[in-house]
Amino acid sequence: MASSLLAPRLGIGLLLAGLMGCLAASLMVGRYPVPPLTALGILFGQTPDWPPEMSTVLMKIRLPRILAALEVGAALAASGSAYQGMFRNPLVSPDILGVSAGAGFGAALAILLSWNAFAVQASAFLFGLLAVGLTSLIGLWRGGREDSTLVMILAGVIIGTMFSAFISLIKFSADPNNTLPAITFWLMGSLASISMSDVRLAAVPILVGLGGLLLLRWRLNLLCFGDEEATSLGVNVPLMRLLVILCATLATASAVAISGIIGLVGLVAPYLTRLLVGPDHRVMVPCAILLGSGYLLLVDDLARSLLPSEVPLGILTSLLGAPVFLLLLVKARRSWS
Amino acid sequence: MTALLEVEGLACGYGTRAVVEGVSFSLCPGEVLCLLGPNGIGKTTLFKTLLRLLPAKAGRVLLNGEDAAALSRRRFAALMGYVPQAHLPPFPFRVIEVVAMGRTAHLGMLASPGRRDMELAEQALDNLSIGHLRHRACTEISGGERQMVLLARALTQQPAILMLDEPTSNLDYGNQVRVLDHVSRLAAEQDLCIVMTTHDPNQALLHATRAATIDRDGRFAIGRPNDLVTASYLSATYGVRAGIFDTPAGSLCLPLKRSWA
Repeated sequence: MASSLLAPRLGIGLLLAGLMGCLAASLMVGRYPVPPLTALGILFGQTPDWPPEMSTVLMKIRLPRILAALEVGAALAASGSAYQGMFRNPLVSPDILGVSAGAGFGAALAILLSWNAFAVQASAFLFGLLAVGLTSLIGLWRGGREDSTLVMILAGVIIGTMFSAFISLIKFSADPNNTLPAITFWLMGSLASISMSDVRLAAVPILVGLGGLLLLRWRLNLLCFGDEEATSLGVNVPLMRLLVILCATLATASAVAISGIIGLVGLVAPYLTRLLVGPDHRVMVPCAILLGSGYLLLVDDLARSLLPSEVPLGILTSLLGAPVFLLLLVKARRSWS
Repeated sequence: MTALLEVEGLACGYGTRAVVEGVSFSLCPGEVLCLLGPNGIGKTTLFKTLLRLLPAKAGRVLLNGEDAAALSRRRFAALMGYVPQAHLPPFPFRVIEVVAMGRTAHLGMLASPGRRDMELAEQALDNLSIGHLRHRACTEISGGERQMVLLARALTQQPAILMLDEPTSNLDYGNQVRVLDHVSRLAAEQDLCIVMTTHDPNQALLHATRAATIDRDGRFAIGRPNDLVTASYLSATYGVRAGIFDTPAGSLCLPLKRSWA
């Protein structure tokens, strides 16, 4: 029996086509509908025969938001796949490992101190690294003796909770007139107030992280077999782990810094991708990137058109992700016993 | 014939404590060494030290005349292949993907297996007569098949020395026989040097050219299987009464039933 539904090329092709479809749809849907031909015309800079506000909506509001959804979805999906492979555990993701909360704390701290956007990114990255470092240490410490899959999740929950407490502390001490609303709204996980400069700023670290993970993706397969086997196959395991953690955390932290905490995308996207194309990271990582961006784009379209007033994106992704986590837990229990 | 694997005064253990000391032996191509001993005696520790997964406390290991500790990871992996006990990986990789992982030592840091590597993986599967498994998920095949897949992966690594960690534990009788037949054949046909740990003294008697034991005091002994696996050894090490019987297939040991009458 094959372990995937689709052949690699077909999978990539279909996901790419799907993503294009989502992109086209996302440009048109919303409170202010833009006809398809007009949307194309605006994008490709034709002489305007449409109202100027239509162009403003598309270029200043909708396009940055769509690009941000692509960036954030790709970053969370790729780093989720990488963490899952590296920790040999389909139940972890940037948020479950506490990375998102750590990065969120770093970014909130920077916002509180009114640092510039670059410093927000850097601070998110450093605290994201700290969080994943702490979680891995607890996992290494207890994991040999007890059920390592579960220990890793619990460690992540604790570290995540700790950083969430720190975030609350920051909110508590923030100025209720300016920084507090900024931090609160951003933390909810939303792409509503994203600007083109946010998109540009996050693009570089996210592309670096994704590029690194794409280059190392075959080696992720080897890490799935455990440190001893990977070492005996000739892999420099400590170096490989460090590189994977650096790349995945860089991508996650940059995504968190512009979008806040958008939960469980890094769990759902790798899971769905593995169902479609199988677990081989050579195919799986690029497909997860495509699927993750498409998924977040669709959910963001829902977030801005489902109800008369906008629903924060993070709420929707968490509600969609929770059943997937439960499903994975049931499946994992079956294979543990 | 020149020795492929030379071990000189090796001591191994965890932390400051040496579990096994004074391990010295050498193996030539085509030889099969069975490492016998009860659980918790240091068999696995010695095995992992030979594989460089644990640092040696004293002494050294030479592979093909070169100090193993000084070899690069990739060079080491190209000389010594490891067949771990079959276990379930967390994701359902296809068999051919798993076997191709054996090529790691021959690939650059950022490279992945190419056409030639996939051909070698296919050859290894055919060599062990498990070509029909190539597109199956490695989580959905039997334990014996999984053990053969890991053996195929180690062959794809093209090492001179093959290290097998209790290759027949968790296998049913038929698969035990099949795996050991293949191991013996690989030593004979491809001049591989094989080191395997086992709980079954008969595997040493039947398949090994040499046997090694570790006793309760951490003393290491090596010799011809027939000289080492004796009734007194079995009684001293395992506390059981067993006899060695000459059969047309060679010497074999059998536990002696106590009489309860």
